Amino acid sequence: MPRSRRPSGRARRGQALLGALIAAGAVGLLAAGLYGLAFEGAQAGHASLAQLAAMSAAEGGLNVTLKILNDTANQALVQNLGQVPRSTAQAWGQQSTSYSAAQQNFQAMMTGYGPFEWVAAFPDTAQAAPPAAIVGASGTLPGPGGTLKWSAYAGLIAVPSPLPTWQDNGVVATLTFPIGLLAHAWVWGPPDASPGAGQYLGEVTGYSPPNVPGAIVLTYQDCPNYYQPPSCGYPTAVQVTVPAGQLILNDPNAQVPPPP
Amino acid sequence: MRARRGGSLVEALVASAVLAAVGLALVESVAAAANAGTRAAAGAQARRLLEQGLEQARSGRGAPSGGTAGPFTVAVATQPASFGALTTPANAPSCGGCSGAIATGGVGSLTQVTVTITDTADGSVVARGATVTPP
Repeated sequence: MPRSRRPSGRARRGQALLGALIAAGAVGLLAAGLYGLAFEGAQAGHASLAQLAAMSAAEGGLNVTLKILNDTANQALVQNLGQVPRSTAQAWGQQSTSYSAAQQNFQAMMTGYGPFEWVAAFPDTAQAAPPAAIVGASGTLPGPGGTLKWSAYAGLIAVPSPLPTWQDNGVVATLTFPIGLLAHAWVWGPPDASPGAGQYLGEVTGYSPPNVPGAIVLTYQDCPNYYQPPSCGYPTAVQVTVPAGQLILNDPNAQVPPPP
Repeated sequence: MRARRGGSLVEALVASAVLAAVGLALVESVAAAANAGTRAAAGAQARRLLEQGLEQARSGRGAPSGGTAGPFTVAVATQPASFGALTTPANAPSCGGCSGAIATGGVGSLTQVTVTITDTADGSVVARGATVTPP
C-alpha cells in the first residue's frame, strides 16, 4: 500500500502565502475595478454636463449672429437694394436660368449692394458649402467650469429651387430672388469643462434652406414711354425675407476651426 | 522549533496586514462606487433642471424662474446679450451712396440667460450654463 506523501511545513507555508497573494490580488483587482467604475461615472456625468452647456452656448451664439444678420438685412441691405437699376434687376431675374447663374447673380447683388462679406464657400462646413454672403461673430458665455467661447457664422445663399424670376404685368415689374440661410456655431470650453482645452465640443448647427426659402423682392413701377422720370428706374418697394430655416445637428462634413 | 514559530508569526502578521490593507481598499472602493452612484443620480437631476431652464430660454418662452427644486437651488440671471467681436469685415458696396454698416445695435434686445444650480445643503455648484434668447 503506497504511503500518501504529505507536504512539508515549508511547502505548506509556501502554498498558504501563494493563496493569500492570489486572494489579495483578486480583491485588489475588484477594488481597482470599482474605483475605475466610480471615476468613469464621474467623468461621464461631467462630460454630459459640459456637452449640454456647450450646446446651449452654441445656440446662444447662433441667436446673436442671426440677430445681426436679420437686422443688417432689414436695414442696410434693404436700403442699398433700393438703388438697384431696373435693367440690372431685370437681367438678374431673366438670366438666372440655372443654379450656377443664380449664384453668380446673387454674388453680383451681394457684393454690389450687401454689407456682408462674400465667401466662395460657407466657412468650415458642411453640406456642399455654397458661396454665401456672411456675417460672423464671436463671444463668451458662462459654462459649468468657466467661460465658454463661441464662434458663429450666418449667411444668405442662393437656393437651387425655385430660381429667380422677373415678372411684368404691365403695371409693376417684380424681381423675386429666393434665398436660403445657413448658420453654424462652434464652442470651446475651459480646460476643466471640456474634453480638452480648445477642442470642438461637437455642436454644429445649420439652418438649411431649400424647402423653406425666403426671398428678396424688388418692385418697379411700369412708367409709360412718354413719361420716364429717373425714379422710374429704381424700386418702389424692397422686401428682404430671411427664412427661418431648419436645424441640422451633427453635420458629418464639418471642419473644426481654430478657437477665436 | 522556536524559529519556526517566529517565522509563522511574522507570516501571519504580514498576511494580516496585507489583507487589512486590501480589505480597506475594497471597502473604500465600494463606498466610492456607492457615492458615485448617488452623485450620478443627483447630477442627472441637476442636468435635467439645467436643460429645462436653458430650453425654455432658447425656445423664446422667456427666462425660467429660480427657486428650490428638490435638493437644489436654481438661480437665474438675465442680462442684455452681447458679443465679443465681429469676425468678418463688412464689404464696401460699390453702388453710390450705399451703406456698408453691419447692424449690431439690436443684439442688446436679446437676453442672455444664465442658469446656475447649486446643492442647497452645501452650496456647491453642480450645474451651470447660459444661452441667448432667439431673435
